[in-house]
Amino acid sequence: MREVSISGLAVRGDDRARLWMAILGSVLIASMRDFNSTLAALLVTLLVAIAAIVVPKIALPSLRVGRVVRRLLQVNLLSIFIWLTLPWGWTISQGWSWQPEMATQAAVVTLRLNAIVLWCLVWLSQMEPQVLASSFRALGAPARLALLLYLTLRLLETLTSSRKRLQRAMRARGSARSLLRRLQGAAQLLVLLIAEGVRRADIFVAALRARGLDVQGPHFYLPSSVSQPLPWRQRWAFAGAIMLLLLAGWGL
Amino acid sequence: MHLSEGVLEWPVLASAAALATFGVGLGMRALSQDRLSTAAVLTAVFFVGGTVHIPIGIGSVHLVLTGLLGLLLGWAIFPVLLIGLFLQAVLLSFGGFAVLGANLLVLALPAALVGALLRPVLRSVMAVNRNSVSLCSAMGLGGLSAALSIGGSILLVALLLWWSGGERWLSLIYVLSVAHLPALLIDAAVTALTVGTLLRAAPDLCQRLLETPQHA
Repeated sequence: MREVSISGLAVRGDDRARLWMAILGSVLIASMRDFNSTLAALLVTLLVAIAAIVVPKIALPSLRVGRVVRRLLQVNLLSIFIWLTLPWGWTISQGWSWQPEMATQAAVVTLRLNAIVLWCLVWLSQMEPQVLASSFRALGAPARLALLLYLTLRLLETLTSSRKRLQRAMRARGSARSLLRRLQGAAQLLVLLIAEGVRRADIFVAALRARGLDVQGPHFYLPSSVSQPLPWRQRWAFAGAIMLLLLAGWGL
Repeated sequence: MHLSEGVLEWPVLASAAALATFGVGLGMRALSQDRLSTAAVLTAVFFVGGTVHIPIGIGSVHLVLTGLLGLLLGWAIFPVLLIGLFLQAVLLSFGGFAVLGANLLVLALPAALVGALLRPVLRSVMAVNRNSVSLCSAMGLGGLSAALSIGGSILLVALLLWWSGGERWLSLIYVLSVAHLPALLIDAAVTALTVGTLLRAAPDLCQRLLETPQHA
């Protein structure tokens, strides 16, 4: 097992470290409450993101600009709601009025939201789904939960391609003409996905058993890539780091 | 239906995460080994179903499916949605890590409660002869489950926002609640039709999905 190190190539190479960085950064930024600290957090995150775009393969996973912009536009739909509602107060005597302190609050929320989403994109945008299960287990998740994640990941690719194929077929048959037809189409799609998923899951579990992995018994075993939890000392260090970050963010 | 990162204050996030962890603990007890593969299928369907959009007017509504999952899984919906939301945060950047506990609580708690209430009724409906009356009853239960689950989620979102921001968030709470009403109606209709299609086209599969969990 490779050493977890929060610097340079080791961070890029170790998927657990990437997941940790995303979680720790999210928690830290979420705990910030004033304008200056959230602005500083967004600026730092922007610098890290620019580094990931300009100099990929040096220290961070490479980042696709298009995906970042698309995602930030999506999450900022909520910011629009916030800016349309939060800074405006209404009284009978004055009607609608602009409230500067509420505008600052809206700015803090917007900055926090963008900083966290950008931070997570920086660390996780290029993560392979298959390494997630091992990273999840390494964070201390119970083996049964890690196995649920592992099985889900194995099914996701199949069901995603099935959904695309079935939706193409439904569109070709002109199923989207009325709302009722669309709803019926969605229900049929879900039932077909469930049936396909159950069939695939049965095959997958049988294949695991054939390879000597007991999925059903009380002491089942995960594939070796998912079976290595972190030592207790590192788990406590991780929990301690989250607490310290929360306190630091509260102080900011 | 997801709460975005950065909106809730951290005491609210921490409290919601603690409650969600308790829910996951309860859910893991309800999720026996022999139901893991079925649970994985429903987690994947939750993830993929979230990308199915129903066009309405100039916009579109995406499926939430917590009502269906609550009806099929009961309390086991907590670990299932934990994995689903974790994957959405990592692969799609929906929600996030800091707000994972809050989102889990918002989506899973109403669905689990509704599931605990309506699952036995659905089982008893399925136990009688499959005629049009029992089929309509099952569809009604599916629709009711989705409507109550999403309605409960809207209330919980409002509660968390209120706790985080007090009266200053009131306008936002109204806007978000009204904006989610189409999702409630569409999800209720799709869940009712899904339960009906499952019962008509694949009754054995429906029976398997509703199996009583045996504690590991």
